[in-house]
Amino acid sequence: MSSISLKNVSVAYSNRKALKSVNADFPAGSLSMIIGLNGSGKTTLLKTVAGLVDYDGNVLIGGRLVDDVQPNLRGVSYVPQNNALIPSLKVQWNIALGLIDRVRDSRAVEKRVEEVAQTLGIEHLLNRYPKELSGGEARRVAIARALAFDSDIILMDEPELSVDVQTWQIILNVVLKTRRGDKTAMLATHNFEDLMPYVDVLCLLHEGNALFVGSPANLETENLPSDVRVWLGSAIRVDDLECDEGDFCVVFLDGREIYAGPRENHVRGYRRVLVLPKHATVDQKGVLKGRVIRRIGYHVGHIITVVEINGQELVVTSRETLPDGATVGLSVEKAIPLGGVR
Amino acid sequence: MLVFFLIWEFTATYLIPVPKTIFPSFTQVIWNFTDQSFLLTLLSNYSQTLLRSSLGFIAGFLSSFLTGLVLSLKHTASDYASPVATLMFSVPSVAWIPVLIVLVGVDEFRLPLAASFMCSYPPILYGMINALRTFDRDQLDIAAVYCLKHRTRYRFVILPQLMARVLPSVKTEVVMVWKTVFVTEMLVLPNGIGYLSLIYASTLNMDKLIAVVLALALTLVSINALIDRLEKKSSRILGGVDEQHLP
Repeated sequence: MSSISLKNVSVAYSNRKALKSVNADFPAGSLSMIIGLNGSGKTTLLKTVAGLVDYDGNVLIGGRLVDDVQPNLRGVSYVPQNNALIPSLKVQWNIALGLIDRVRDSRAVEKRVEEVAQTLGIEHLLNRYPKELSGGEARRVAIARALAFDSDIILMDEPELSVDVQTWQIILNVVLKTRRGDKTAMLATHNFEDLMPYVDVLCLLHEGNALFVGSPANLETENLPSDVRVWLGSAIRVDDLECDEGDFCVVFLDGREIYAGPRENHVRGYRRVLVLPKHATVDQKGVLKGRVIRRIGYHVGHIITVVEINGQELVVTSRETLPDGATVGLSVEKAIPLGGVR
Repeated sequence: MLVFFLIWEFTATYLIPVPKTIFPSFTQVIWNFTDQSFLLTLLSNYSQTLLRSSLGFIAGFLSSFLTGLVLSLKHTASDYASPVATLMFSVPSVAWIPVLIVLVGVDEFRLPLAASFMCSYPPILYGMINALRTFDRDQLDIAAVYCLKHRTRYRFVILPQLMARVLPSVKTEVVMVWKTVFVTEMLVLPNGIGYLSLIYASTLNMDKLIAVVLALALTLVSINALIDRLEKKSSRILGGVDEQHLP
């Protein structure tokens, strides 16, 4: 198992700084999630760890300085955004790419390819060429290639891209399996909703700056820039947690229950959740009462407003502009538990 | 194609009121291929043209491909080479002939070889440089992360991509090489099908002249078809991928 540390890492493309003095530690065997708006530096951060971009500062893998180490010797596997499958190679060869120079025994290579193909449900695709695959299938092949490589560190850039719900579930299971295993996984993603409960380290990037690095349980959103709050929402404290026999849980905010996912997402003692703006809407029939603080932006035709509820700030969606100080009714559909589940 | 030949035959035989020596029919042209002396003359000159074109093209292709590979090692090098390749690429290949006549002299072998080299080297190098620039960056990243050896990187990732991008221009250039050698032979050389065409034209042997042109056309069509096939299979051949088994 290998930890990853970034010390004052900066990356510049021409005149634009993609990463600005980023400091971050990702412990060995952890699942880390890099989130941020487009252009915030997520891909660049992954490429920095992989050694695929020139950077200032230091990167340590397993406590060893790797600034002068070539990508193929860093012990990382990488799934880029566009899969980058080699068009001239059949799927089985694409998966075996990392093993060609490393494993002499062809039976062992074949066995490894079959194993990972089975894990991702792509055994039937092994003899196809990349152009014969759908977007979701290509994604699974790219992930299979990374798994077959069997490195200590796996880096995935937006694994949710162009996959349907079923494929995403398969990928999610694979990611969680690597977490239970001995790999250190880093994912850059926009789909943080599903992964958040399982994440050990959350890295929030904004315009190349790391605004937050640490356990999601410690995430504070009140001082984040408005444009970040508009999509990220609010991390708040809730009162209680109850799970029914069907394993679904609810948390209580101001005495009202909010759906909070399955029991496995919760850790005893954690009472912090993330509420996305799309899950918190101003509704005159809403049973939660809040006081409007200020409008902070727009999102797909809706107005995003900060409302105070029970002494905490909640970012909500409304259809109309609300006067500051007004009392409004709110409906909160879902709360995403924050805090690593093991 | 058959319709074209039928129209030609019909037009030459019944419609155009000119002597057969000026506008021969299709069968008259084809009949020449049964004439042993014509066939021997054609083959002897054709072999000269074939040798010149092939050697010149192979030399140009290999040199440009190797230059391209060297440039692929360093991105900045291809940036410097690009304007020169663009400039040379812009010069029409036949424009090199007078320059080369002065530089290498009217030599039966060196002149057409140099002409066909100048015809193939700049465009293929230009194609290589552009191919390098439009490489899928992510695929190179993948090669850098997963492939331990340079050889594997070139064999599985870089060469197949390069070939896929360069082969279409190779197809054009191989035809251009034949045309350039043909013109060179017409202008200054004492043999080759270019020379033969000029002789038949000056003696008004239209049926034989068209037979030579037909042989040239067939050659170029065959070369195109061959490169088409190669283009489709190149990446697999270069990747060295066994269809069924892993390494």
